[in-house]
Amino acid sequence: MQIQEYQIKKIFSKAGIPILKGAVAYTPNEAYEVAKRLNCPRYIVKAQIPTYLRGKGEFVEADQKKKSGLRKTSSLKAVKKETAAMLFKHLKTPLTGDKAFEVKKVYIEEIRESADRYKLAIYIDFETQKVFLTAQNLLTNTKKIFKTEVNLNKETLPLSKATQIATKLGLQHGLQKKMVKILQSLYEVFVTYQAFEVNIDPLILTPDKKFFAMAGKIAFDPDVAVSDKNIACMSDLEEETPNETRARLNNFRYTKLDGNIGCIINGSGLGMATLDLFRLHGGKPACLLDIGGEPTKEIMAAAFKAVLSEPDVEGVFINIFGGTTRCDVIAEGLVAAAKEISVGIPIVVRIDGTNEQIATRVLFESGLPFIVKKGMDEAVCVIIHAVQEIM
Amino acid sequence: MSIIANSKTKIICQGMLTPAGLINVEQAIAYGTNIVGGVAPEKGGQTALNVPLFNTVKEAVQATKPQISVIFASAQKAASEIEEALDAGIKWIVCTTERIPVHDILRIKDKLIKSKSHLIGPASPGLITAGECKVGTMPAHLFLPGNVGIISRSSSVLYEAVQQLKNKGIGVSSCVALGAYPMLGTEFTDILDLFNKDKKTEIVLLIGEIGGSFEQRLAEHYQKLKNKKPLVSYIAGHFVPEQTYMGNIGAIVTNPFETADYKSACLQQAGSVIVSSPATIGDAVFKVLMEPKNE
Repeated sequence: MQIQEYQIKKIFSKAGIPILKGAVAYTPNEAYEVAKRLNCPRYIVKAQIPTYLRGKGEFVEADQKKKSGLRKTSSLKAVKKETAAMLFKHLKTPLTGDKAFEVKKVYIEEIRESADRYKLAIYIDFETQKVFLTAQNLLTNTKKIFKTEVNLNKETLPLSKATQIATKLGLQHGLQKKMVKILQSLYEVFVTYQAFEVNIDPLILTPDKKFFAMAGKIAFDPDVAVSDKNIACMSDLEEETPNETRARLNNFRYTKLDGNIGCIINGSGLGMATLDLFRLHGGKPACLLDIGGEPTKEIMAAAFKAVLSEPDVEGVFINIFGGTTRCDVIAEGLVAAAKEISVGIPIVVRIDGTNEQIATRVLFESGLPFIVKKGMDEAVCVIIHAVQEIM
Repeated sequence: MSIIANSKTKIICQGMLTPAGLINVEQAIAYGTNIVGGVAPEKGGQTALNVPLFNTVKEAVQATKPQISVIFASAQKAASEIEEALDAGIKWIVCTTERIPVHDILRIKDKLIKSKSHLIGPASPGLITAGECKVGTMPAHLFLPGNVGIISRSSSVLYEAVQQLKNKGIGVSSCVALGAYPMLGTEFTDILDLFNKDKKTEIVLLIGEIGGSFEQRLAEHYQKLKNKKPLVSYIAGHFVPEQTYMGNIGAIVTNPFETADYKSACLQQAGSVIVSSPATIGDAVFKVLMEPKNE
């Protein structure tokens, strides 16, 4: 789950990290009012979408082509105009691939001059399984990154460690103290949200010697993001697709892909194996829905409906190996869902393992047109051919 | 022979009275596993499934001297359960809990490294020595006793592979699933060494996946081994797009060295047989077992 800039700024501000004046707007008029209230000489209008590198992004629409999601302006009128230009348009960034996000709101923020710029980060290095704090001055020529290991068992970032980094950045005494406070606040965010990474990039120093976090990042532990209410409640429902909502409500894991065969699997490893088989046989999955190790009949039914609701889906492949999963439960869920909605596309069920024979019987006796196969290889070939035939 | 555990190995269960604990301990006992105690706060002195209960891991250890503890706990409590087992000095700790916050694991990492204990997991279905004992959640009926040693990260592909072996009448000596997690307690290489020493194990099957570098380290280690047993490897996720979250945080490709292709190439270079289709794992193992031994 990824949150947006306005949410990150709120978290930073609450933790004591200084941020620039700013607020969210949903309409051009609101943007005008927000800017008026902020009352600054210059503003930046920032498209709010759940990804980074908006400044290097580009809009899909012809009239906004080659324009990024960050626009500097110097009048209230221009704020209104740029907001109108971006709202409801679709923005791609170097991180989003082909997917574009519709801009549903903007963040209006004051522009302050910077005398110096820094990048601060705290992150988990998975290779060494350690946590590091890094700091660098973005304007000096050396671009040297100062790095120190952090012990997560400490509730706050030790003063000595923060001071050491602030000193290395070459800050004078008064500023050093402010930097220490910011580093400690950033650590507080990192620990509170059990993040994989938090950063401020850039942290600007104004000519009147004040620090402000201009942009930042919080990368959550996806497992914590699901279970921690403080994070889950930030999930911006406006940005969710219907199937992402279904996945969230039913606790299954959903991955959108670019093909035409919807896949339901139990276990992430089997999901990856299924992708491998599709590519080996020349088929393309439209999505991968992982119902986990111990699904109920209801979860299976919801998963089946979710996959069928995908507009790209021209066939469904269900690949279940019953280790801890009971195949009969899967079959009952499938039959219940298929009786509720009419299914006009090929459905191949590959089912093997615990209670497989009962499952096969349930599927046959339902009278519904499921194609049931035991072998994974054969089943993948059957669904690929079935989909090609109707095309 | 077997690795880590056999029918005599003394095992305790933390979180014995949780639903998962009760079901799996019951199955384990029925399979012949020597469960000597369960830990359940405030239930010390009582029994469940005819197994004596203890208030703390320490009390259970003093009374039963177990070699292994298997943990069934919620994601929020699992790290402290692991810590309690570490403090009690248990040699092998098997943690079945999924979705433990990475921060929780990092907090106990130093203690784990300094200890003499080995952690299998978290998010591990555990281990099994076919026909003798099962520790964790693996469905024992899939495993025939035999001579293939298995090291796996995933559980779902593991079950798939074991079924393929069973269909060919091929059995398993021991099978250790280390868990699909970016923070691993036990290295693949440690398990490989155990299999290499185990008389019953003739070949080793590795089921790896994208993300991290556990398979690469295994390849490096395997290449250097003397008198090594044949290794067959399947790495899941050759066609997963980069940076795609596949449902477990260990399996994310963030650089070219974490792809299934790269890992397979490393293993092949080290002398492993590579299986490219998950549907032919059984065939590949069969073929290697049938090869004449060049001694």
